[in-house]
Amino acid sequence: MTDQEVISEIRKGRREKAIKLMYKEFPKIKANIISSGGDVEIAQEIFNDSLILLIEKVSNPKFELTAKLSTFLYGINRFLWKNELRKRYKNPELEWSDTLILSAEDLDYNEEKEEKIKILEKVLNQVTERCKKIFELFYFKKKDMNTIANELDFSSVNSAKTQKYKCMERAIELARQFAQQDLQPTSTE
Amino acid sequence: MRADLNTMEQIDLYLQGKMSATESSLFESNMAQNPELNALVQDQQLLIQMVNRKAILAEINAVVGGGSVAWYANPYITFGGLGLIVAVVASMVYLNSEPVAENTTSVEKENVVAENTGVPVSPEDVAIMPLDSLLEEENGVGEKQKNRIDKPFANTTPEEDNGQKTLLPDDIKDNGADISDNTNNAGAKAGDLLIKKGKNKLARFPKGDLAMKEFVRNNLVYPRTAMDKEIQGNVRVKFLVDNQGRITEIESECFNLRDVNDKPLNSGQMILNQKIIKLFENKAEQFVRIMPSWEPATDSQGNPVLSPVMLYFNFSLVDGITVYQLLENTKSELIEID
Repeated sequence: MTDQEVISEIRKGRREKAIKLMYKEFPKIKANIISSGGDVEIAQEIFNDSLILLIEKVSNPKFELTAKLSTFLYGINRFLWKNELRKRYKNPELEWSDTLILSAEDLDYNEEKEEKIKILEKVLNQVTERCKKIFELFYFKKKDMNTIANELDFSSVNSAKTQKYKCMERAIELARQFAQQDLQPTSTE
Repeated sequence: MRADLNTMEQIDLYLQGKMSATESSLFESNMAQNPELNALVQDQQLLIQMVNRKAILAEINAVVGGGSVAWYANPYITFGGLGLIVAVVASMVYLNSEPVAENTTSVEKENVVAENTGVPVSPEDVAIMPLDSLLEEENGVGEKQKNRIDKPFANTTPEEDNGQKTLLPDDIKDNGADISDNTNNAGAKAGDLLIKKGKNKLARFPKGDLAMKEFVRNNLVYPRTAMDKEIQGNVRVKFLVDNQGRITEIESECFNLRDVNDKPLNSGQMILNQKIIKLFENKAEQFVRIMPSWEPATDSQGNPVLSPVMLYFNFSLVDGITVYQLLENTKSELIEID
């Protein structure tokens, strides 16, 4: 499977193979992260984040690969790990061989936005299962509202739509609440 | 309520790029004028992104089995993985003691043949791992193997050189970095999560991998007869490094011979080439014997301990002789002296 094939698989929504393939890079990346002060858990977390980021990037039809996909993956991992270290008040020189040096601009990585997305993770944990299901079907699997209404046993398409927007409203409301809380200096963590 | 629903529907259409050009520019100018709408669009976009991320993460976890280390801890296409399997098969075929009847064995054999065509032998190959060739390596091979070679001797990492007094300028630099790292660790709140450097180390060649490479270059020559016959091979050498760095209990095994095209020899040819096997084994064993004392492994308290070491020798007509140390987790195998 060439890089281009991997990319087109991801774009078609068939990610499983690609994920498997990418995970073969994990041991090396893990070794790199551990050798610069990380542990297995953080390596796993960083790697999963990098995969998500990679899939997000690749899914964008405008994305063009300038290096090998694996190299790009390394680059993202290096970037994310460096970012993590910076949060721990360290500024190390990371010497990863055969790596693309990527900056935040290269990756279009916005710290503020990432923080906000993190908040939304909490939000998504708080909305009802049904809401989650609707979101996933509509935004991730890109099903239309007819299918969703059928699949989730709504009486009509309209009631499914109304439900979806109620969920969205609730989620955004929650997100704003959380964001407010996070601004308080006495936040946990 | 109705208006809100409409707005959100519009936002959906906008974010999904389903609006026509005029519609979307109209929407954008609306957004510019209406900060409320703008905020709403942003929130909704982020929410969608998070929904997608969560779903992808779920997919990742489904594929790799929820973060368990079991299957992706498989070897790269390296000697560790390849070698051990080859060893199993080769010794079975070679000794010819029992008929190769079990299914598992024949499966392994197939894998070996398939893999051997593309064995990367140079350090660069091991380090980079091309994706396409990785795909050819099916999971079945790796699952059986826990051990793997983490890296060839050609690449030094700062971690390895930590705390050693050495003359190599690179190493000195690394030492400095590590010391400052350690002080940082103590201060960081996540410090307890970090690896305690300088402890639980594996035994290694004095002054590290570069020195070992140098030593290989000066002390190992390709066996003449093997070169004349154009035969390549792999040898695994096991030995113990005691707490003073002395090397004992050397055992060597040549587990694989290949012809000039990197094709493994069949059992018949293996028997004919007994002499070459012995030659490779002796070469490797002798090399281990003349090595200077090693730096012993250390336990979690930093005390030197007895430890097993495994070296893989690759005799290659193209790349010369390379030596890899199997960097496995020997924690359970470390024998405490005191």
